[in-house]
Amino acid sequence: MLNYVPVGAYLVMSAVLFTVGMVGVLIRRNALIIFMSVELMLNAANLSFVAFARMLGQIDGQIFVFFGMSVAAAEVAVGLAIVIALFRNKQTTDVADINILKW
Amino acid sequence: MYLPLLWLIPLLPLLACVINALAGKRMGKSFTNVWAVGSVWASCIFALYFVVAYVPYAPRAYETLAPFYWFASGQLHLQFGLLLDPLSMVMILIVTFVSALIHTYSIGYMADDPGYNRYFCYLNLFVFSMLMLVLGNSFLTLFVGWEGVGLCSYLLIGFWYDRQSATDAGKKAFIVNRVGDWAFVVGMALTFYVFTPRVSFGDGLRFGPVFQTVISVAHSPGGLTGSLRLVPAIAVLLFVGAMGKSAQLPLLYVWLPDAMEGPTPVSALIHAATMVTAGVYMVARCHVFYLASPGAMTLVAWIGLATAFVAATTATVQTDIKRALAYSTISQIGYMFIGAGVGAFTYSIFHLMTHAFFKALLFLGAGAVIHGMHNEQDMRKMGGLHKKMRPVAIQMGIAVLAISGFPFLSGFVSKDLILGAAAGTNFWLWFMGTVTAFITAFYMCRLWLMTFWGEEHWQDTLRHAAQGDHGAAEPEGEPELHPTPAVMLYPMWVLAFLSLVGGAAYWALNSFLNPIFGDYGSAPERQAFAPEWTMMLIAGIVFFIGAWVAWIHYGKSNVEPKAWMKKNPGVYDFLLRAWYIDYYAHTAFAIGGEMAARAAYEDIEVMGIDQGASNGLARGALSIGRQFRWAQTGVTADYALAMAFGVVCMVVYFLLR
Repeated sequence: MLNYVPVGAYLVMSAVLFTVGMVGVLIRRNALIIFMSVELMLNAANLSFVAFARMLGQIDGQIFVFFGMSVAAAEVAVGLAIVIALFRNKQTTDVADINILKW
Repeated sequence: MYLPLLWLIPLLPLLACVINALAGKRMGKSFTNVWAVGSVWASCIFALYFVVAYVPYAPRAYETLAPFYWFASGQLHLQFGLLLDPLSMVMILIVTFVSALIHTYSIGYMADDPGYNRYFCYLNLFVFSMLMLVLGNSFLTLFVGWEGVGLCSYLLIGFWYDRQSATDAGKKAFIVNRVGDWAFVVGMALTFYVFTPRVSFGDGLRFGPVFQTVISVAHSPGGLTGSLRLVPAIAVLLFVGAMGKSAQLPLLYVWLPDAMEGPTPVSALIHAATMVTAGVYMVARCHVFYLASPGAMTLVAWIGLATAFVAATTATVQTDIKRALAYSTISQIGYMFIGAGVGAFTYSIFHLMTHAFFKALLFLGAGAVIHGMHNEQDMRKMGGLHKKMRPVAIQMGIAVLAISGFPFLSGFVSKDLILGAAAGTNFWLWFMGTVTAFITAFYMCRLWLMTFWGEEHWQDTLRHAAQGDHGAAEPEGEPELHPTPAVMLYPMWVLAFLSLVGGAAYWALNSFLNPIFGDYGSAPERQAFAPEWTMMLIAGIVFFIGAWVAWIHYGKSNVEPKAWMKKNPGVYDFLLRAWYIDYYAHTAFAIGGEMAARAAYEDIEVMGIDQGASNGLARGALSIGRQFRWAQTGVTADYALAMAFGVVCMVVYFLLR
């Protein structure tokens, strides 16, 4: 007999994904890996939206996922451009080396 | 008599000053002369007009007020005004006439000076201020003139401003004067406080109402009551102001010897004939206050005596001709205050007048000598000048005889009258006054003998000076004394004549001035211990003894220091440096003041305020900042960690709420 997957599981999954993403952003040193972690956080949020849409029986949540995805895409485009510019100047993708924004 | 013309007397010199200040330099010397000298002669002529027009109405007082309020605040309305009464009449005659003569003389004396125009501007400003002082109808107008003459004195003493000694002397004069002025202002404030509720027009500073109030109350049986009991204090405070202006002991005279740094005509006008007599005029003007305060009168008389004596002793050993005359001035003004202190105000003003004549002449003569000696002022380097500078020698001889009290010359008459009045009050006043007269005769004759008689040192002096100027080359021919131009000699002849015959003004002055001082009687010599002729005889003998002693020591040679001075260096130094008063005053006030200022600056301002407060705040801000600097690593991931930490805190908080 098939049981519906409870909404809570989706939410927990979303939270776990978000946390993993956040930890990745904070811990990792490679800029591209940090980007991947940011994408993970965005997708975790999308998952959460979809789960609630299903729970409330409204489609608004899924519409919002569209927005979220397009924002993520645009952000990746811009962000990669920044990383390339940074690499041209500093010849490294290690974010720990980019530390002149301080007194 | 057209009273508003009175305003022309002070305002013409002021106008000349402004015109010369704006246009004098580029219009040339003749322009400057016409305005500067002409305006003072014009004032003199107007003063003479008023003599003729006013005498029939004497001793009534006339006031003319300016057509505007100086300042008006609430009930208080203060106006400038001029007062015409016998005392101010006499004063403007003296001031304008002597000023005019000295302006004329200055044309010759300052002819080669690059600051010619500036000199006459300042001199005219001075005449304006002095005239406002003596013509003022209230303490306020008098004080405007009082301050003005102090300012002009500073400007003119420091006239040659590239000389450090001159600027120092100017500052000293102004600052010491200021001390006196402070006391004067406190006295004025008290006067205002005491008299404003008692007089109409809400102006407690006008002479007429103020003195009228005191006179009417003092005659009543209770004497001075209520706030009027402050009148003696006012009298003393005003006298301290006079001490500053008129250079009296114990402290406020120290500026006058140094004031000789200024040009000699300035010394003649300001520091002999006019400004230093302003204090005496003020005491005479406020005679009502002094007559109502016996203590204040005693103070005035004894300070006058002390000043006269100490200054005379100092003058006996001075070698600079102008310094000797400066101490002589201090001494003679002491005599004027003796006269005022015993109630003989008329004689005080009479001595003021004769002193103006012979002292101005002495200074102008000294100026001619200095001019001739190419700016040498040391009398030891002169000698025998009567052969080459005969007119000046005669004129100065007359002045010396006048000041020493040669019988029946002007100085003898006025000084003897004062001593006679002093004899009526206190034996010691008369006795020490006579001793001082002996010393005066001695040092003045000494001055004349050292300069004009005896061995001639001036050729060597001029030769050395010429060699110094033109290098060590041997100059050709005999050294020449600079000739004295006529424009300098004529004013001196006028003053010499007045010094000779000025004593004759006694009867006119007595009848003219006595009525205004007459309330309490102006001739206390009635109670003298000996008849009039005895004291005149003693005064005459004193002169001859003094002159003879001077002849013994200085008749042949003007070498100094003498043998007795070398044997008693302590005494000599004591006298030379004016009983060390200036030395102590300098140590206490100048050096002490500088130390206090330095402490205030270095300890309070630099350490306390700069380092402590403002720099300290900056340092504190910096150190606090340094504590938090470790948070700025520049690594973006650290900032992201901080943000994530904040988010977690918020979530936990809302979960636990």
